[in-house]
Amino acid sequence: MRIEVNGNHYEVGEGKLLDILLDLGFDVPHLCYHKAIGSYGACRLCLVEIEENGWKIVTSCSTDVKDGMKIRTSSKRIWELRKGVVELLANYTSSEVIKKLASSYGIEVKGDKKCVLCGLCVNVCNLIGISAISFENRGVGRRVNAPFGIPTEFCVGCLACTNVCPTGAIRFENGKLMVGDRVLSEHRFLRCERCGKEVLSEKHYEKLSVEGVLCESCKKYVQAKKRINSRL
Amino acid sequence: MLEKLKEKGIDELYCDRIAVGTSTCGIAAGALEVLESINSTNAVEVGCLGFCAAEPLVYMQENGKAAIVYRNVKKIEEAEILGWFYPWEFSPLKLEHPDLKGYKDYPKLTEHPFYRKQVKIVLRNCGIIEPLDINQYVAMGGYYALQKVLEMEPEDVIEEVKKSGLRGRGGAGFPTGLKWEIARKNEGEKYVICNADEGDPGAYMDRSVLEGDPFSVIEGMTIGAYAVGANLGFVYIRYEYPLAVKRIEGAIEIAKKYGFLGENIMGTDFSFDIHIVRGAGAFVCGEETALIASIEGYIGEPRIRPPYPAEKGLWGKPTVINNVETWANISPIILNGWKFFASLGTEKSKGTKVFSLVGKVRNSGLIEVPMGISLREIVEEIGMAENVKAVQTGGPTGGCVPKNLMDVAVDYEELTKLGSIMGSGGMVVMDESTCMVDVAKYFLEFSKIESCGKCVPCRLGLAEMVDVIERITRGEGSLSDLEELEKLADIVANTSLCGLGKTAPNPLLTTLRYFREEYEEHIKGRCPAGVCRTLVKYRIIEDKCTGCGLCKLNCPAEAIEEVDEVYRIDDKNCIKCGSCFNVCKFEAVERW
Repeated sequence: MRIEVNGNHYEVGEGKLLDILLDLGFDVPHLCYHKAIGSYGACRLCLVEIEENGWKIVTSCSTDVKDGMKIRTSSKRIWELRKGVVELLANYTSSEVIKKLASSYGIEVKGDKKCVLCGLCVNVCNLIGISAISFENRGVGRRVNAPFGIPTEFCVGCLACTNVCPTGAIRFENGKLMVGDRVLSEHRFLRCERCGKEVLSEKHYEKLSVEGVLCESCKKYVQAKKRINSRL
Repeated sequence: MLEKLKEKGIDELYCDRIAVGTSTCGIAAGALEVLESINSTNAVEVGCLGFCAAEPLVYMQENGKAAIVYRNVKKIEEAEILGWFYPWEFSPLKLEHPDLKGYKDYPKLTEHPFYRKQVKIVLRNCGIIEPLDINQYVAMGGYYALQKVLEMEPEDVIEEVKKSGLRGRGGAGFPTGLKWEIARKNEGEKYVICNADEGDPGAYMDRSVLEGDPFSVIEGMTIGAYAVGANLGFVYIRYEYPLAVKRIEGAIEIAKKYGFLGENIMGTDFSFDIHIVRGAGAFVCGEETALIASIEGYIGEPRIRPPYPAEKGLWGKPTVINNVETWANISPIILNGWKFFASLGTEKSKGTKVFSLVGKVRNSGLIEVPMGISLREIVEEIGMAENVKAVQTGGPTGGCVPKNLMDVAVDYEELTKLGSIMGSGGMVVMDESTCMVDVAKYFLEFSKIESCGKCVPCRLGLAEMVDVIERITRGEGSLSDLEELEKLADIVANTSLCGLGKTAPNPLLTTLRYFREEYEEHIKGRCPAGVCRTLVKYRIIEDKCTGCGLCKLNCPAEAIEEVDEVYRIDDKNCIKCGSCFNVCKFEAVERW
């Protein structure tokens, strides 16, 4: 199908608008979107304008591309709104990616925390069927944590969360998975029999060998059942 | 079967009885004590007639005569008479009833300013029937709509609702029939949900309906389920409404017993069941996608729309989610036909709307009025308010309409034009003693606390707005802060994920638009209404002070000292509560 971006025409396939714009080489900032995880809609940075009875502001991560779609990625209005969101983030957080974003909008970074609450770590953990970590509290108090703030047994140490984190807020250090100063879980890593390099966590190894072949939803079922049994 | 229940119901409704309004509001005003003091087997408990300012409300029917309503009852023998009415006359339905004699010596209830302009559809049975008595519900026309619907094609039911012009009463005003149609056209298993997570401060229409007339909601949901092809429904109700939970649970049981719910409803092959889910009290769970997430057992936070719940809702299935008030509208529409409903209201907003009229009004309470009535009529004629400064409509994320614009017709579009919203129908009246900056601060704080925190602008933007507006109320603001607030409001309103963030800046934007001079006064260091504590000072005028000492007696902070019968306020200890100002009978305490 054909779309028009900033006045130029392109031939594109189906998919989420953000993916397509990125593939075409447009600079659309985003923090909470990951191709493998899908759209979540939390960071509100990937705003673009599309024409639908006048120009309408949408998040490109959640918009399916349509034939004949007209898109503006960097109008004055979009710039203004994005700058506003970046400014909010820069007032509360600080990380490499935020510093870079802020400098491109001429904003000073005043925050200190790293986590931007994009939700990628929580979502990836859900998606692979573990659901070991989640959010707690609401509003400004929201943060990533293990259930009841106690290092969780359910984390297998796959470290998918640290891989998708855009700011490096969630990290694995000295055998501990951490966000800020909160410990989410603790792990011992097995070493490669040949070279001695750390390969995967003990639990991850057990899980891979014990739980057998289960689809995503069945994994959740088995997990849930285990959890219920462990509480009884 | 209905005829039998109806006969019994008519007997029960029009026999000698003393009805005490024992909804939560009535109980709070002391209705249970009144009920206990009535030494009669004829005493029954009913829902709420809506007139909060007159609670506890009690009415008596005796010797084949109409009902006499007593207001603010402590002892029934000493209570003041509010008026008399026929129990059937509030209902829009054509009802069978015996002839009751009226009264000549007492005023008619329907002539009372509070009731004169009301047209009751949703509240038709509230305060009239015993909430859990199915006979009485049927005698008031209940379940005849369901009987009629079960003989109709589902598509025709949807058509009827569509033509009536009914729009969602939860706030956004999406056409109900259209929502049903979208869900019907989608394939697979379907669900219906009743959104009873009423969280707006000062709004309680949903509670009143659930407590006073739970069957009307259940019947509405059953009709909706038949129309869209659902077999399972959920009532998502906040746990802070224990009586409403109890009533709806009880009503579901009874409806099942009589075959109005469950397997093979009324002898047809249509089956429908309702489950109750208790909400843990998050305001954002009133947002439909957050509510669905909460039912599914996830964190109650909204997700991106589209897909809308009518396409992909609960567990990914097409789901119709409507507010309590919307569901309660369904059976009268079916029974009286769409034309009856569409004849009320304005071009785009049909029917009636229930508002909770609270704040600085003499007649506070729940009112149901036709759409298109002016805000002035509601506030000044029904509420009998004086010296109105502004009216906040639409709950915490609505806007303040100033008195000079009160002639606005109340409908979805007109209120939006003024920067406010219809919302779920909260209506807070404010007079000159209200500080508009303080009001904006209060509502922004509410939204900040109730934001789920998922998206950046709502989580951080609202927090920053609260910081700025607090600075202004402390007298530390500058004119550039107003620009800052406007900029933040623009970002939060236009980039937030869900309706909460999109509308949360409304109280600020409307007060800035209509009361900008109050903000400017605060920046200069003065709160004109004398509300913002940091900016207020109290002083005793020596010439006026008689030395009675009442101020000193009432000062909780011991900030008033007496030297030779002259009283003085010590600014260091004064907490600016205003007690001295309020108690002084000689206007000797000055506030500025």
